Amino acid sequence: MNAINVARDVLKEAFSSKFIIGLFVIIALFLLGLIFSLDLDVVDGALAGGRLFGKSARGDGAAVPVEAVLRPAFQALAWVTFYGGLLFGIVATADIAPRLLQPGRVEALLALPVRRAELVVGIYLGVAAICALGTSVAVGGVALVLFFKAEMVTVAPVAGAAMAMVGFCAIYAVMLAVGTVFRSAALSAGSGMGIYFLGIAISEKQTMLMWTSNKLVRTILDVVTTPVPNFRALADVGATVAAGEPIAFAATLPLIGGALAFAAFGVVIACVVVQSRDY
Amino acid sequence: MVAKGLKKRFGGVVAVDGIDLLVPRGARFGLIGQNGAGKTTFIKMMLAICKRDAGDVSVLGGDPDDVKVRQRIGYLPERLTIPPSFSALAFLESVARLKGIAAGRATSEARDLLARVGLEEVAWKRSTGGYSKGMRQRTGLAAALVGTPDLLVLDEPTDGIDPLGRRQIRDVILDAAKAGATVFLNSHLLAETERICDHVAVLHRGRVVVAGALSMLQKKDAFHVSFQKTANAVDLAKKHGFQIKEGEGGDVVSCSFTGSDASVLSRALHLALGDGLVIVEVTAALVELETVLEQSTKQAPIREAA
Repeated sequence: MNAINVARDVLKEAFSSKFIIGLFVIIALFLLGLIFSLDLDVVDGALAGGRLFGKSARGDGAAVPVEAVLRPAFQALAWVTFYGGLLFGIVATADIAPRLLQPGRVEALLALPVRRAELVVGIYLGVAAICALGTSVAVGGVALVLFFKAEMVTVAPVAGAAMAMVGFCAIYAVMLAVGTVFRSAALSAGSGMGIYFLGIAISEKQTMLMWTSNKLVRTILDVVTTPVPNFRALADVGATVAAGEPIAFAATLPLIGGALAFAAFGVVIACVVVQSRDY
Repeated sequence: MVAKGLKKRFGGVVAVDGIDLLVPRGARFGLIGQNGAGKTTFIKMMLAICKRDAGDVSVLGGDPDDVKVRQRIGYLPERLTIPPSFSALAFLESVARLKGIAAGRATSEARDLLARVGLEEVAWKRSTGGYSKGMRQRTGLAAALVGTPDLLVLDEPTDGIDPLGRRQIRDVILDAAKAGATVFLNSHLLAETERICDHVAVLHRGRVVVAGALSMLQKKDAFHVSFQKTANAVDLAKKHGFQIKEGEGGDVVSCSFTGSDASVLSRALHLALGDGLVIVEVTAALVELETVLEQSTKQAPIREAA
């Protein structure tokens, strides 16, 4: 129960951070821009014409289904949310755990009826909630705008953005584990960036393994990178879902399950570190 | 609170070297010692913030690792960091929530405590980032009092607070003690410890060198006696075994009477009264806490870190 209370404090504190406030201001401006600049002419579910910033977006005048037009836009939104959102999330949340664990603060928290594991899980849940809120407001906002502009009801973009959440959960687990060991925002952010780029590069694992002819190094590289979630594949799944296209569940579930297991492992490591540490 | 053989080492440095200590329930206990004596480490071990290498500690009849025990403890750390974006009210409400106090009660209790520690009402909803050290300290003390704890552990509670504020804080601590809380105080301000505590332990190089009731530790084998000044007062006082203090004038003759036995003093006073001397004041001579600290740490054997 106290994990939720810790998460609540994390959320409350985060909303005074200039990064988080900045993020929501940017999202709000983007949505306002979209509301006032995009004008779609929809007739019987087909897009007859459209204007963006007063300029015609479709010149030939032929009516096409709205879904067909918006599908690439949703895909692009899913990719931007995934790659951009993750990067922003890393920078914006890097100092949260080190701040809560800083001398003078952690002692006061640990003297309260808060278990050490609850403290760690609370931080994690709080950060995940910030990420979920940001993603929902941004992507949900776009979906809502399009609902009114294009008379099209879809939750596909929000479902696609959930992949960004899965990716962030995996990244933040590593950041949290590093944050509990070093209590440094810079190292926490560094570890997040490292996992982010490694998770993208991992889709080219076979090429990476070809870089070295040393069998031992290749084996080590193979073993070390095996648990790292494949972010490129996750982003592609997100884009596919956002576009409303079918996904291959047999390939997707292990991808998501693996990322979540990786996240859980990171949180467990953080719990073990905090549990065994003197403050 | 009972500690038995508590030990803690940080690398090659022995911070706590086998502390045995008993803090009676309802006591106002002061822990004093030089910098690096192991006071803060001991407090952290007592609250399970810091793990112990050896020994046992029992707080309020239980293990301090148990959240039910910690529910009954209020703690003010030496250097409390309050989230700068939080107001004092929000901080106390957060502490109350973490102590399992319902939201409505948490707010009213937070307001009551902030008023008790003397934080001006206009500052309650202001972000603590702009607070002075004294204001932060008052907020921290109020946070420690949330939930009416049975044990109040205060690490330098009056640090950074002006003399009048110190008095106010002292009253708040004494009120908590009167309400039944055991107070465990760590302060460099010995005068504060003397005014607040009834029991004291001196920590030196990670060990308790002296512990006991303050009145016993400060007791000296002597009494101060003042007689009304008359023509023969000095001679009569000398006749009955009183030593005249030189250089003290005025309307009284100041004397000291050696010995700790009050019945011996009573007999001497009875005889002096019979000879016509008028007693103005009789007090037990007390050693200052500073002297207790100085003497106990001088006498303690020096132990080098292994």
